[in-house]
Amino acid sequence: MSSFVNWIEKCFPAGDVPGNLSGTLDNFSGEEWKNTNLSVLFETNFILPGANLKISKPVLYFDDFLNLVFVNGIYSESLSNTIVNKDVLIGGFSKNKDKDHRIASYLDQTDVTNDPFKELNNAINKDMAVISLSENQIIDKPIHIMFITTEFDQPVMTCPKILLKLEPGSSCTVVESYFGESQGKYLTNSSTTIEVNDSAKINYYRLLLQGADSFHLGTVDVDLKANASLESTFFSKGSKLSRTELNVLMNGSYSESSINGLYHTVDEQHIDNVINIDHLVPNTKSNLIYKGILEDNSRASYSGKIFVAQDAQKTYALQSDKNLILSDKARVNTKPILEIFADDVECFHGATAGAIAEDAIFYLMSRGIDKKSATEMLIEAFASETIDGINPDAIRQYLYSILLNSKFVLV
Amino acid sequence: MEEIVLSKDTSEEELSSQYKYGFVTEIDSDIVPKGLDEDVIRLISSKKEEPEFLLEWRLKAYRHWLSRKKEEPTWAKIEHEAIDFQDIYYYAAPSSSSSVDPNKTLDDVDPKILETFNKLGIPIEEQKKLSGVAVDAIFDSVSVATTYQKKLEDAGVIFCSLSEAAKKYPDLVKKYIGTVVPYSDNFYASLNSAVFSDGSFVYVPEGVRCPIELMTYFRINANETGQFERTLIIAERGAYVSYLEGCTAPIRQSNQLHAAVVELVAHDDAEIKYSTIQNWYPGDKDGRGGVYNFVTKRGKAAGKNSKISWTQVETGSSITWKYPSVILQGDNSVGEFYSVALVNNHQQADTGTKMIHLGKNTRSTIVAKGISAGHGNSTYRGLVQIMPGAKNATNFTQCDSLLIGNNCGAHTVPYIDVRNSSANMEHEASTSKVSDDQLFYCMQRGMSDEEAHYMIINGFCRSIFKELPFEFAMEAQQLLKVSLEGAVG
Amino acid sequence: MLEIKNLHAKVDGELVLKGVNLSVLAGEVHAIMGPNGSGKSTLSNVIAGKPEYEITDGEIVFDGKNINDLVPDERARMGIFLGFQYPVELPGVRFRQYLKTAIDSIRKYRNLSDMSPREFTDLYDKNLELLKMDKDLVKRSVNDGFSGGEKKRSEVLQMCMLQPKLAILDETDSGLDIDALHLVANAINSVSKSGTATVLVTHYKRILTYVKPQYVHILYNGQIVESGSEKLADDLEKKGYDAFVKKN
Repeated sequence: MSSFVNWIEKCFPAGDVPGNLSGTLDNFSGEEWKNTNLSVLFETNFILPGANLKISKPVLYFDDFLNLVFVNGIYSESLSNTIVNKDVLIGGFSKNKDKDHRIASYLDQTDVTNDPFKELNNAINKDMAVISLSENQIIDKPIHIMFITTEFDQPVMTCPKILLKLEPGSSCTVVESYFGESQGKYLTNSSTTIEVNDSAKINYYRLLLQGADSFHLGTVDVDLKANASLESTFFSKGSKLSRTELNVLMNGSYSESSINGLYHTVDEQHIDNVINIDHLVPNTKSNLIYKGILEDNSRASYSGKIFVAQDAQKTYALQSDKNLILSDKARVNTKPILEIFADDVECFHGATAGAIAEDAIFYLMSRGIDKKSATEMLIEAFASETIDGINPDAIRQYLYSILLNSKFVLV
Repeated sequence: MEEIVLSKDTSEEELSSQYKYGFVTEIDSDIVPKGLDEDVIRLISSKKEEPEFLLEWRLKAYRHWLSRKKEEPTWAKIEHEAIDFQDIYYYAAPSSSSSVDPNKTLDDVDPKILETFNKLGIPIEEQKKLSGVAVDAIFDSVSVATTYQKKLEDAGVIFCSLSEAAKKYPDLVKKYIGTVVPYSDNFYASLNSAVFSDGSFVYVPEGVRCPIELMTYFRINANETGQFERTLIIAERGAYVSYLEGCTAPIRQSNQLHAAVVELVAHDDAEIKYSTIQNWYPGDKDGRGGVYNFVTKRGKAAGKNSKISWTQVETGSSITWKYPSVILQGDNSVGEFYSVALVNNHQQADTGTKMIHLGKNTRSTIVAKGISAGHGNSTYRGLVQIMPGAKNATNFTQCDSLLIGNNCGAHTVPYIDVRNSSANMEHEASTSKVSDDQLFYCMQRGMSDEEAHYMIINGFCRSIFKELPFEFAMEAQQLLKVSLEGAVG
Repeated sequence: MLEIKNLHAKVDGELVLKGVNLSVLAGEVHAIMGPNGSGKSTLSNVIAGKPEYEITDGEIVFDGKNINDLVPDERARMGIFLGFQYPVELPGVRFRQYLKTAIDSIRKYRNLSDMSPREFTDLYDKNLELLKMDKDLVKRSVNDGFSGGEKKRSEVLQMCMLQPKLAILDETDSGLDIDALHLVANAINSVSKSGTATVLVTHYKRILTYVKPQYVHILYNGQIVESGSEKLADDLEKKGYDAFVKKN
C-alpha cells in the first residue's frame, strides 16, 4: 500500500505541495482506519479543479430553503442566499479574502490537527461554508449547503470546509449534501465543525449522494455545551469508497444528541462509519442508531464508541447498528464499543446482521402479498425508521424517492 | 541443573482473609535456572523424557517466538510493566516427583503436597477423594497424581498428564497437538509451545460418555516461576466429556506468569464441556503481586453436530487475558461461551471469545457478565465471524456489565464480521450499576447494603453459574462473595 | 370449502400431525380444541403454508383444489386467512399501506381493480368502529408496540377487511378481556354470516358461548380423536381431555 505522503507527492507537482503536508505522517495504523482500504484511493492521482462554475440549478434545490451552493469548492454567489449582518452570518467565505472576525476566531480552533486528511483539507480548502448565529437567533428556513463536483477530464479533489457556530439560545436546521455531476473519479475530503453553545439547538442532516466512482472522506466534529441539542441524520449512498468520521463531545450538562444513520451499498462499494461519542460531564444523553442495507459485493463497516468519563455520572447512552444483508457476497463489519468509567450510568448497545426475518415475510404472504413485494415492504420499513426522523419534508420525500427507486436484488 | 530449596519468606506471607489459598508449601524443588534459551528447552524436554518429535516442535516454536518477540500483543486494554522473560524460572517440580514414572503411586507423592491439596479442598488420597470427580493435580510444572484412574480405564477414557501421554500415547499427541492452536498462533501461545510444563490429556473414544467429571487442579507454588500449562482434549465421534479446571497460587509480592494453551477437538456428534474456575492470586489491595494469566484456549467443533461449550468464572489473577474460542467447522455444530469476570482492587481483565462460523447451520451463544469494583477494569472483547459458507448460521451475544463504585471501568468491544445473507447475528449489551430500586427492595426486606448487593450480583450471574457442575456452582458463588468483600460501602 | 385428508406434517424433523381429517363448508363454524402441544397451531400454520412445515402425507383441498404445494400468498389470495396466535411485529410497516397492499393483491387475483382510497377508508373506518379500535392505528406500524389484546383485535380487524372464504383463528380469544371478547365475537359472527367458513382454534370454552360452533373437534397428539356438536365442549370442560384420550 502506497502511503499518504507518496500519494500527495504524486498529486502535486514538485515544490507545489501545499502547506506542511510533505511532513505529515501516515496516521492510519489505528483501529479506526482498520476497515478502510485507502490503497484504491492512493492509486489515483487527483488534481485541483480549475474554476468551472457553469452549472444549471443543482438536482436537489428547494426555493423555500436558504441555499449555499459550492461548485468544485468555489462558492456560487448567484445560486446562493448570502446573509451578512451583525447577528447572522450565512454564506461562503474565503479565509484569505474575508476578514469577518467571526470567521477568523473560528478558524483558529480548527487549525491544529494530527489527521492527515484534515491537514489536507486545511491546506487546500478554497471557500468555506459558514453559519454563525448570535445569541437567541432562530433561523426558520432550512439552510441547505451543497457541494457539487462537475465533469473534468482528470480526477479532481475538493476539500469543503463547513463551520457552524450557534451562540447560546440560537437554533437552525442545516442540510449538508454532496453531489457529483460527474460519473468519473473524484475525491471530496470534507471537514465540518459544529459548535452548539448553551441551550442552542441544531438539526443537522448530512447526505452523501455522490457518483459510483467517487471517493469521499469526511469528518464532522461536534461540541455540545450545556442544554445544547443535536438532532442528526447521516445518509450515505453511492461512492466507491466513503468514510465518515463523527466525533461528538457531550461537553455540557443536560446536552442531548440523537444521531441516526442509514447506509445503502451496492456493487463493489464500501462505506465506513466511524463514530465517537464522548460523555464528559454529568447528565448527558445520547442516542445513536445506524442501519445498513447491503447488496452485491459491497462492504460496510460501523465502528461506534461511547466513552463515559469518570465524572460523567447519570449518563444515558444507547447505540445500535442493524444490518440487512441481501447478498451472500456482501460483508458487514460492526463494532459497537462501550468504554465506561462512571458507575451511575445506563448504557446499551446492540447490533444485528442478517437477512429479513422469515416470519415477517410469512406474515405478509399470509395476507396475500407476494414474496417480492413483502420483502420490499420490509426493506422500506427498515429504512423508514431512520428517514422518518428527518424534519424538512422535501428532504425526507427525496430520500424516500431515491430509496424506492433502488432495485433491491432479492435472493 | 541445580537443586535449590525455596526459603521461607514470611514477609510475603501476609495472608489476607480474602485470599485463603495464599499459603506457600515448603518443599524442595527441582528448578531449571532462570531464563530461556534452547538449552533450557532441551533440559525441560529431557526431564520429561519426551519423544524426539516434541522437542523438535518445542524448538520450532521457540525460534518462532524469538522472531516475533517484538510483537508482544498490546491491543488489549491492560497495563503492566514489561515482562523480563529472562527473569523467570521456566520449570519447577517438587523434587520427590521430578521423574515422570507412569507407575508412580500416591505413596510416592510428598505428604506435604497431599496436604496442600487437602487444604485447597481437593483431596487426592484414595480414601478422601472427591466423589464423582476424577482429579489430575498439577503442582508447579508437573502432575503429581490423578485419581479414579481405574474407573476411567474401564470406560476406555484416557485421563492423564500430557507428559505421561507423550510417552504412553505419542501417536495421539503427535496427531493433535498444535492442530487447534498452532505454535505460531500468538506471542504467548508460541512461548507456551516452547516451554509448556504440564497439563492434562483427555481422550474419549468413539461412543463413550465419560462416566465422571474430570478435573485438573493447577497450583503454582514456587516463586518467580512461570506456569505453562498445556491441555489437550479429544472427543471422538459420539463421545461426551465434562472437564473442569481450578487454579490457585500463593500470595507473592512479585507477579507470576501463567501462559497456558488449551486445545479441544470434537468429532462428529461429540460434545466437550469445559469449565474453569480461575482463582489465581489477584494481587493485594494496592495492586502488588498477582498472577498474569495470559491464556489461549480454543476448541475445534470439527465434526457434524459437535458441540463445544466454555464456561468460565474468572475472579483471580491481577491480569486476565483470555478468549476461549470455538471454530465451528462441522455442519450443525454448536459453540457456547458463558463467562463471569469479576475485577476488584487493581485487577484487570480483558476477556471474551471468538466464534468462527464455517459450517452450515452452525449456532453460537455468548453470554458474558462483567463486574467491576474497586479500581478494577474489565473488558469484554469478542469476535463473531460468519463466513460465506456458513449458511443459516446464527449467533446470539449478550454482554452485561455492572459497575460498583466510581473508580472502576467496564468496557465492551465486540467485533462482528458477517459475510452471508442467510446468517442471523444478534448482539446486545448493557452497562449500569446495581439498580437502586432492586437494592431498596432487598433492603426493605431487611438485608444490609452488602448482602443486597451480593444477592443481586449473584442473580446477575445465575445464568452462567447454572452452566457449571453443581458443586462448582456453589463454589463459584462463594468465590464471588469473597472476591466482592470490601467493594461495597 | 376446506377438505383435509389424512394430513401428516413435520416441523423441525418431528412429526406433529399424524393423520388429521377435517371437512368445513361455507358458513360453518368449527371449533378445534386440544391441550398444549396437541398440534393445533401446527395445523393452522400448515393450512396457511408456513415454509418450515413439511407435509409428509395426506392433502389439503381448498375450493376443490389441492393446495399442498402452494406458496402462502397464493393461498391467502384464494381466500385463506390465518389469525395468528402470536402476530409478528413489523416495525416501520405502516398499517394502512400494509392493509391496502394486501387487499389489492387479493382483488387482483379475483380480477378486480385496486380498491379506491375512499372505499378503503370507509371500510376501514367501519371495521375500526366494529372493533372499537383507535383511529390512530393507521399511523402506527403493524403490531409494533401493540398490547396482547390489541394484537388479537388487529388480527380480527384484518380478517374483516380481507373478507376471506376461510378464517382460521388461532387462539384469537386468549389475552382478551370480556369487553374485547364481545367485540371480537361479534365481528366473527358477522363475517361468518356473510358465508365465511370459520375454524376457531381454542383452549377455552369461553368464546364458544358467543360464537356458536356447529362442530367441535378434539385434537390430541396430532389426530382428531373426537368430533361432536357444541355439547362436546361442555363435556370436555366437565371431564377434561383425559376422558377422551383414554377412550381411544
